[in-house]
Amino acid sequence: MLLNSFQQQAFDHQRPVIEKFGRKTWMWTIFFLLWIILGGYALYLQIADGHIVTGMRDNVVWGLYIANFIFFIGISYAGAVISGILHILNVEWRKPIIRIAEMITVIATIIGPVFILLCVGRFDRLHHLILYPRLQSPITWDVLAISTYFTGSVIFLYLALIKDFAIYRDAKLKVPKWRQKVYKALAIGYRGTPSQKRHIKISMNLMAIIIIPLAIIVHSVLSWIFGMTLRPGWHSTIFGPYFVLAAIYSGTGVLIMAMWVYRRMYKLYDYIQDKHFIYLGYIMLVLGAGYGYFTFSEYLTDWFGSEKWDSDVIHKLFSFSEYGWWFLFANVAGILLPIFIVAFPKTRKPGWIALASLFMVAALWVKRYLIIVPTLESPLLPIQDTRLEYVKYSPTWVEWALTLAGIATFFLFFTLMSKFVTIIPISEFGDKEKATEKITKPGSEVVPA
Amino acid sequence: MRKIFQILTTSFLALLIISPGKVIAQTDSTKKETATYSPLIEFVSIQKNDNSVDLKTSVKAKINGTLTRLADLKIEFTIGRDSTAKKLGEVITDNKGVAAFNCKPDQLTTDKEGKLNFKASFAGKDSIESAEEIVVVKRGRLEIAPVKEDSLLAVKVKLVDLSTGTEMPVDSTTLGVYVKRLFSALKLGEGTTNASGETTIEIPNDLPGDAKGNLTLLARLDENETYGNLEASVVQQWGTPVSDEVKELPRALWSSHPPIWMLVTFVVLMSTVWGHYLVIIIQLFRLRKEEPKTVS
Amino acid sequence: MKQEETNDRSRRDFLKTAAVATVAATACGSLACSCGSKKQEHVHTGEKIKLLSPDGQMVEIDSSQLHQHHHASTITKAEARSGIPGRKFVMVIDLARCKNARKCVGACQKMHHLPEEKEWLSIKLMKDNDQSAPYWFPKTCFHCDNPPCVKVCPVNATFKRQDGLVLIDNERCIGCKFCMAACPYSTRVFNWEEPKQVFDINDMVANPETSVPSKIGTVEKCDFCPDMVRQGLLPDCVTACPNGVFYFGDENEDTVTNGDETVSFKQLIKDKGGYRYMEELGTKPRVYYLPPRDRMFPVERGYDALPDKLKGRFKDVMEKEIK
Repeated sequence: MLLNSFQQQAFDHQRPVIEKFGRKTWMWTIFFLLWIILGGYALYLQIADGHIVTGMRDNVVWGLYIANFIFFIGISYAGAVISGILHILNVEWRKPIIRIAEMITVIATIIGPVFILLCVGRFDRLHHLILYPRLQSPITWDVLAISTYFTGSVIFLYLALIKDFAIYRDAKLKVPKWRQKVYKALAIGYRGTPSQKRHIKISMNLMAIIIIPLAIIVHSVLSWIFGMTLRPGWHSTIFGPYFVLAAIYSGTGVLIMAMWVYRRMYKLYDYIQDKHFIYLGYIMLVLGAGYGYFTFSEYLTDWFGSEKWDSDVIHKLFSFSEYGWWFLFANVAGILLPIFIVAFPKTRKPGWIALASLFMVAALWVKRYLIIVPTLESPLLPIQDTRLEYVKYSPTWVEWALTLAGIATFFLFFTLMSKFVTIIPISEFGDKEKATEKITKPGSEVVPA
Repeated sequence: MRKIFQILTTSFLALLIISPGKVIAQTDSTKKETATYSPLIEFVSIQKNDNSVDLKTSVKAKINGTLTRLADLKIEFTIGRDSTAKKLGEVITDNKGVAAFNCKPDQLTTDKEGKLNFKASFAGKDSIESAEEIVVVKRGRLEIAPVKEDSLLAVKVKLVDLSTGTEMPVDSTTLGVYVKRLFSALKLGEGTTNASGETTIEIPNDLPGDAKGNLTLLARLDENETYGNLEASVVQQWGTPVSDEVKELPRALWSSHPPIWMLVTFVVLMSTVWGHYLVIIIQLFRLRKEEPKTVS
Repeated sequence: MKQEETNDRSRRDFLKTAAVATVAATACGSLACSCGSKKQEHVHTGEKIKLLSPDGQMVEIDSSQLHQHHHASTITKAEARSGIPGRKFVMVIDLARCKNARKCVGACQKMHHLPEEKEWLSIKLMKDNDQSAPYWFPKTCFHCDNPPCVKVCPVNATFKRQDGLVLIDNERCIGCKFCMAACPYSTRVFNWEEPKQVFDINDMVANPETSVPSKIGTVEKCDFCPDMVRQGLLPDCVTACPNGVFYFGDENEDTVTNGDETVSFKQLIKDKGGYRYMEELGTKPRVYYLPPRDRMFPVERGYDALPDKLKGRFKDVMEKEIK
């Protein structure tokens, strides 16, 4: 494989990262594994004793797990937007960050459905979904949509990795033999010939085109799991676009956070530059404004119409003795904070924008919780039960443990992936410039032309 | 030899795994209840128009404050008093505590007053004491005949007394006409017998019937002091037919088969997307084939 | 070469043995199962079984004397899904007569071997608006003709039959609880833990028509007792009610009965202004209510007689009444 000067520089800079599995990485890995093991124990309890160990009961039948599911599928939209839309628009500055975006998509799309599986009462009967499917059910739509979306994102991620795999294969990295073999296999014989380049280009264009409507369908289908029921707060016609927009919004936030973390960890300041944060910040602002508009429209309509059932839910959300503080947090930190931070030039800096993203992502998780639980706590018929756990939902340690285990898995995946492939795609750089240097020389210093 | 042993042990192990509850015995030793219960026998007779008599008993007992029906008890039916008593038969109560017996016309013997003396007795078992109940009714019969005048449907019901050996009409008695339904009988109307013991009661002409439109019409005299319960039935095709064909549910959101448009939409969407994936996979295969032979 | 041959041979032998063993075991197992289910004959077994009476006492009665539970169903799964042809079951609940005696709840729990906390039939205290008087509202599953629960089930575990009933196959159910989220009448309950059944489970073969035995991680609800109906018997809630609140029957026959009174269904709805609860939801329920006017009992009768634990359910509503 021949590289040009930019690519050479990018590769040399990141080479140590994928060659060494240092002590710090081990520490992080073990740290995440501990949380996962705790989650494993919680899962064992749940399977052995039944879902009674969770806080869910006959009224609030869906709780933390479904909130996590929606949340993770939501943040997976980082890939759909950034890679998909920016690819079609052929925006140059997307190139350093598409891999992070696509990784978020793939990993989140793995972890999200695991939370659904945790929520299902009969783990041992999941094959019924394939043997006896009912096409009219939104869950069937979900199964089809998510598996299609997952396949698509994996293909998309892989397509962008082929050229890099070829580079790793030819670079004679100091890595164990099995990894060399994997790189070789995954590079599927890419040598940079014009015809091979064309194959990849066609594939990526096709993928970028198809992944956007696919992403829209997937999260719409997810929203219809709520929208198709007759419950107040759920039976809303804007749930489809609302969820899609919220997903892209939260995906952007996670992308910014990931960029910030990797930039610091692997000293990628030359590649993930301030301008990336600012451009993504602008995108976040626009999406935030849109999300805020949808939120405002949703609650204004429910509140103004003051229908009995809707009013019950609105009351729960607005009253400070119930979910009022959470609702306030979700909207201030989720909408106003990012918008203001990006709007003012003084705070339009990577650190601030990353902080705003952190709050925004947390706020959007709270928002998913607020969509699910207050509605389930306000059924159309009065609950009239003396058992408190049947009236109000409070998640148990099992649910929290599994939530944290999911987040730890997310981070663990990222840690391991960053050791396997370079975070900044090498092959994307300076396509225009001719490749002159052979990659075989490690650590060669080349002055950019 | 070894093979047979292998098969036996593996079968035994597999059996243990397959049927856990059966092999591991559950032994519970608890104190035996020493209390005894005295049962209540509800006993009615129904004289039918085919001259047979239905005898129905329902056996209950108050156990721990609730009236519980007792199953599996042997009830003995006898007819006649004292020395003339003749055993009719034995029936074991079902799971609802009900024992029913049909007395054939030739088994019916009346006493001097033309009355039938029935007795239902229970001999007692374990913790349940013995009990008996008697029913004394005069022999009588209801007759029912369909009457149709143009579009007007009716039944003529006649009540006769059989206690004297000859049929004597009974007047001034109110009886009802019913149509037999799934769980009970729906009252259609009632009438009072005239001097000749007859009354004509109208039947509505829009009653739902069975698949062929048949109705089972009943004439009933309930809980009469003298005769007990009398019943007569006739089947007429006077109802509107209600189909009993096994129906397949239509394609709908709520049935097991989705609407066609839904199916089509799914197939189109899925094949579009997965078709794209297929094209991409083919592109990648072509890419691999085009690997130059020389290693650069 | 020889070593591989012997390895192959021993592997083949093992597989053969295992196959024969499994077949033999399954045959023995199913034989044992069928032997077990034969217990339904009313033979005086001399065996004592323990029964939990409604006031929570453990009573020991000879098993043959208290066969009040549902028979093991001889209906095939296909028949259970298809339903009883020619019938369209319907229920009418007379709110003017209900005094919250809760005999219906107890009977349903006894018949389906449910623990006290699990209510397939629950009684709510409803107060339509500030001015109206509260009334007791027995709520079964409405077996809707446009059932939101059936619409959303991904595996066809809950299904609508031609006789109008909506049943659950708890061997198909994966426990996703979507049906519970979709039902606007909160009628479904979930087995969050291993169900506390109070009878010998081995007697019962699972069938959607009996809805027992309960299985952990699955949904269940009122089923209108189709196995009783097939025997020409009314569901237990109907016969247990001391005030004749529940009328049950076949809409095709246009007849409903509460055990004592048998009336024309259409006439009853017309005369007493029968309505369906939350008709505007479009679910087309098969349970009609007769409005609570000319009440048989004052509402306090049903509240004062309750044990404290249950009183707590309705305190909010009743406190406003008692003032």
